[in-house]
Amino acid sequence: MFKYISSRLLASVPIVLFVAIFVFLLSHLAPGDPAALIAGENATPEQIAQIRDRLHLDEPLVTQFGYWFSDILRFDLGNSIFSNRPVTELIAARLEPTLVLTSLTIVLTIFLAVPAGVIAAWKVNSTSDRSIMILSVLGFSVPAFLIGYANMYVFALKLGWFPVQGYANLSDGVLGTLRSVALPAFTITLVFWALVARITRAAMIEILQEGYTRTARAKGLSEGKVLFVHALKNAGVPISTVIGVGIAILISGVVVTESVFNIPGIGRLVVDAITQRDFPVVQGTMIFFSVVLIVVNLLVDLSYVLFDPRIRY
Amino acid sequence: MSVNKKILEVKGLNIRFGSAAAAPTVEDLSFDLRAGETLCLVGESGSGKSISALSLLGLLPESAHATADQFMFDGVEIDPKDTKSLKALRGEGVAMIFQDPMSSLNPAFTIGYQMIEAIRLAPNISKQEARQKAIHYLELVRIADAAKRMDGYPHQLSGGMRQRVMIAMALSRNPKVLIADEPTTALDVTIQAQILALIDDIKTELGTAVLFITHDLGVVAETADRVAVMYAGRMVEAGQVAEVFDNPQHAYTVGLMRASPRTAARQRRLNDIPGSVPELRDRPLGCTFAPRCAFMTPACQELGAEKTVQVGTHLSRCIRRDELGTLLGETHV
Repeated sequence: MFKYISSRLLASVPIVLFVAIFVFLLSHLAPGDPAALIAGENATPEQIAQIRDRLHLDEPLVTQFGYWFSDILRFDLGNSIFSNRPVTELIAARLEPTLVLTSLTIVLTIFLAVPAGVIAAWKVNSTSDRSIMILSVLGFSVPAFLIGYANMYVFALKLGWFPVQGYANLSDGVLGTLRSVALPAFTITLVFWALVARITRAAMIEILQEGYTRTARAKGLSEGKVLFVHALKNAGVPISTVIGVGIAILISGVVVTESVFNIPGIGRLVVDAITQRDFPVVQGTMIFFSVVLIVVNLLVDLSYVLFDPRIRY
Repeated sequence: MSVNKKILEVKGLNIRFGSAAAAPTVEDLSFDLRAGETLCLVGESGSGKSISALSLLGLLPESAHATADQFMFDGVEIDPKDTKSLKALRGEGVAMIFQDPMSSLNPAFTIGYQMIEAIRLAPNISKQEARQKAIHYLELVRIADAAKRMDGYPHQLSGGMRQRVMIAMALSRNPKVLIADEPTTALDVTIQAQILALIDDIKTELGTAVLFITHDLGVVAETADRVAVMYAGRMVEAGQVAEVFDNPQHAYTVGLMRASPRTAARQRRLNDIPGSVPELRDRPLGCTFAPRCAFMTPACQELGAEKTVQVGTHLSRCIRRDELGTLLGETHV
């Protein structure tokens, strides 16, 4: 197990390198001189040149990349052009809301999508199956910001159940935090659950045809146990896989909904950095997201052990 | 054998797929099963053996409907449409083992979990008691190191071992009826003999009634007390094993015997039965087997030729059953 994890982590270095090259080139292809931007409007050419020198902007691209990537490997993502604070610090400060939001979304998704998928598979081609599938298509095809504003209008403005915008820190009480992220989490869930419900349904349809499902029924187990214990555990591998794959969708959903609901998380950090051309922050968060994706995928692969005893690392 | 109590009595079982007006896939099936007795259902694939067995457990697919003139289990009348009452029979009333042991056990749970879970469906059994009972039954089906095997997963066992676990799991509930649906088809011949012997021992020891489904007449000869031959959804012949084997009274049974490598050992090559089982919608009037039968007369294809005639314990759906012996002698096949 340990050997597997370390080899996987080692194998992810080239992936991060590839992402880094892409991120690095992207910001250098963009117009504008970062040095002039940092120096501000009233800077003298000498000041700008000084900054260019400090940021190695006059050196060849490859050398620049070398400096930058070796910093990354030392967990140094550079400083923000505007606040001049380390990007790692900025990310850490924004981590809590995003972490709470994504965790709640994943929990909500699992609790909504998995039972829905199981029931759809159980009553395949019935009205309930079709309604679940139509709902899931809707969630997937309507843009997240639209769902977000619709939710805000109905549940915050009209019904007044949840705050319209903003985020309450965990240190000020868990309940307040949950209330503040409930609507955004529900919004992303509506997008995310479609994927999970569909995979659950597809996996369960196959599993319900299996001999061991018949055995479970033949020995007299209740239908609930047959579905949610015997069959569902076998669907664990595809379901956790799709949750891992869906993390990318989740992240894009987080970026959009954090803006809609004015939540000071990493998603907002990215959007703000892009509009301000704060390149180090954009680059840093992109590297951060790619590392998150790699780690999540590793965790998903490790979770297979829980569902299928035939898998060993 | 007749002294034993009738556990299961089925009269006029019909199973239809789709609407209630559809042609029946299983038509007018009647049989009974006594404690400590093995009844073999024999027939080709698609003859309706497995579907009939599944209907006893209420395990038919949703599109299928079963009706019966009479369905008695241990002296209690049950409506075969009433899935709820049939579900109540599962486990302690009727237990079933299936054809493919490789897929019958859940790969995600330990042997112990699956057995204890079944045993604990009975009221008031502690986990510890259930565990002891599970080990006891694993030993009964001659699994070595039973206590150790409890913590193992199905993929760590061979096909024969898995089938033993299935049998142990079925028996752990002390079922009155054990349905074995081709339990040895997927296994090696040597393992097959062991499993057959095991089922036979258990039947004698525990007095379980066994409904054994197979297409292998060799297996019938080894295990059955009585045999029922099915063809295209109908039982065409039934009786004591000796009666049916020594004096078959339906041309289909004769065809099956000649096509069996064991009973036909003296022949130079195996005989097949010309033609194929008719599609449900193309079933002929009268005797279903008539179009493939060497001894067909015009009367065979008239309505009424499919009626069952019983002489003693020997049933047949052939109108020429009395002439069959002579006819067979003439053909010299």
